[in-house]
Amino acid sequence: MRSIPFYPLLIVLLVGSGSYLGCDPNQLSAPLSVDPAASKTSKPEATNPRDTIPARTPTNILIGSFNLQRLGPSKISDSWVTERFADIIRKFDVIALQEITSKDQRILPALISRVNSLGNKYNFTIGPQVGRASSGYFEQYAFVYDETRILSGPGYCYPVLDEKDILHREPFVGRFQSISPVGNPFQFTLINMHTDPDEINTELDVLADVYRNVRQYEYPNEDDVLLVGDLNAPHDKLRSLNKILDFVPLIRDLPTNVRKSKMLDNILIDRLLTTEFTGRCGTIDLQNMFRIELVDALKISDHLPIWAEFSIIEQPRLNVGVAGQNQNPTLR
Amino acid sequence: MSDWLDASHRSCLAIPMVWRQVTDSLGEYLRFYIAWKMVEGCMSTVVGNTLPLAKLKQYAGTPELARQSAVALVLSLHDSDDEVRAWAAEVLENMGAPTMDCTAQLAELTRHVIAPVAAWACKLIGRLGEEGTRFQDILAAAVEKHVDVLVKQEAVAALAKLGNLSPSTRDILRRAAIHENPRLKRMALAALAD
Repeated sequence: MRSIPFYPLLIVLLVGSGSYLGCDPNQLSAPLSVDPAASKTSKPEATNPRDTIPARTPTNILIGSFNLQRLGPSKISDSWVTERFADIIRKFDVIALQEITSKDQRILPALISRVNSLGNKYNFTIGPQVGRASSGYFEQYAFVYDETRILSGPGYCYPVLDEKDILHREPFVGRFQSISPVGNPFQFTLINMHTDPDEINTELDVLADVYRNVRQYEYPNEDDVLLVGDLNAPHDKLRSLNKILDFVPLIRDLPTNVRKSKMLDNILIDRLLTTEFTGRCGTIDLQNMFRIELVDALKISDHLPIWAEFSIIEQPRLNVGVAGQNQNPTLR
Repeated sequence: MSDWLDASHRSCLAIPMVWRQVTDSLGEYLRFYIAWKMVEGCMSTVVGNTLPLAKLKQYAGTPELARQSAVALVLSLHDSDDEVRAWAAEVLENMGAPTMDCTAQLAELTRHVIAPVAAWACKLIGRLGEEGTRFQDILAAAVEKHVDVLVKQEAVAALAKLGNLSPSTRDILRRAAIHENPRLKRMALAALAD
């Protein structure tokens, strides 16, 4: 049998594969070379105060949620988009992320490196891949938090077990505690969820059970359990979630998609227990924040980030007395 | 002297030998490449072409265009690139019901061997609601005959959205309601209750 020379074949293969990869338009995504702010003649003005997020101060913490719309290799390789993601994350103390769809587990660390490139100290906890093979893809949830103001970590986060396979994407739960030099630090639990619009009724009903179960699981150490994420439903169409006594959606009558046509995302709290909520919440209008046109805002995501402001220290409950007096800055 | 002549002679012969090996290797590579492209071509004829990522991102912002390309979107779910599949699913999740001219091809795709393709074809037919009732036999066949339980689940979910189910379809749902898969069982019971 005739032997095939190794080196000529290797050269041919390298040249062949190189030209293939180099010519694939899907693999190449050049960053925008023009600053969108410079190309605009008139700057959109913020007209609704709920479209802009307040600054982080020593007395508040900002909790948010953002559907990144398919965070994968092409988005992360677009430095313009990544920089906008980083700018958004830096507005928050804790932000729940949805739709990290890349199998490559270096994607989120790469984004957090960009966030920290200005000297910040953000960290993250990412959930397992969730979804069904029949949908053609899987996604991951994540919590990103500012380590200088929030305590958390992988040991304080867990996916909800769904042994009966009712939910398309099982929620990811995280426990957090503010770092405050004075007073009792605010401790809270976030349930991060992305519902399936095709099974929305079932999912919202089951989500009410998930909320009750997580509360029961976390209680008595934790009474501030917040449900955040892309619920694919407006605030008054949350079915069983709307029926839980005193459990209220904070984002009302405010579109949460970039096109300003749908209410999809929300933050729900128990209004009697989570008295740390300052009353301020809303969306971040990407067009206003970055002074960009709709077409560029859609390159970031089809969703707007949503936010709510809370006190950095525990506040007394409205009807059941005062929260615990634990001053220890470690998580219980 | 004779050693020197032998060495010189060998080196003169060696150059054409190496060259011949290189050309032989190139020839073999080219034959392999052509054969591979033929196989690839046949495969794309069998399973259909997928959409490029740029097109999928465009469709994500224009559901009215996406609805007309439902078949190509569904076929993109067999692409080897994870990101193409993720964006195809993104468009499909948000575009609503397909246009009626796509439905015959979607009905064919419910039999597709690749589970996400068949599952999404069922799901899109389900989004037609009452207008899709004429496809209930196709969906019922997917429940009964498709080998992948995930496709059976989506076919049952789609049937639940159509309404006006025939007695034969309800029989198939009743059989699905005793299936060992708990999700299929639960969905079949829900479809029968509607």
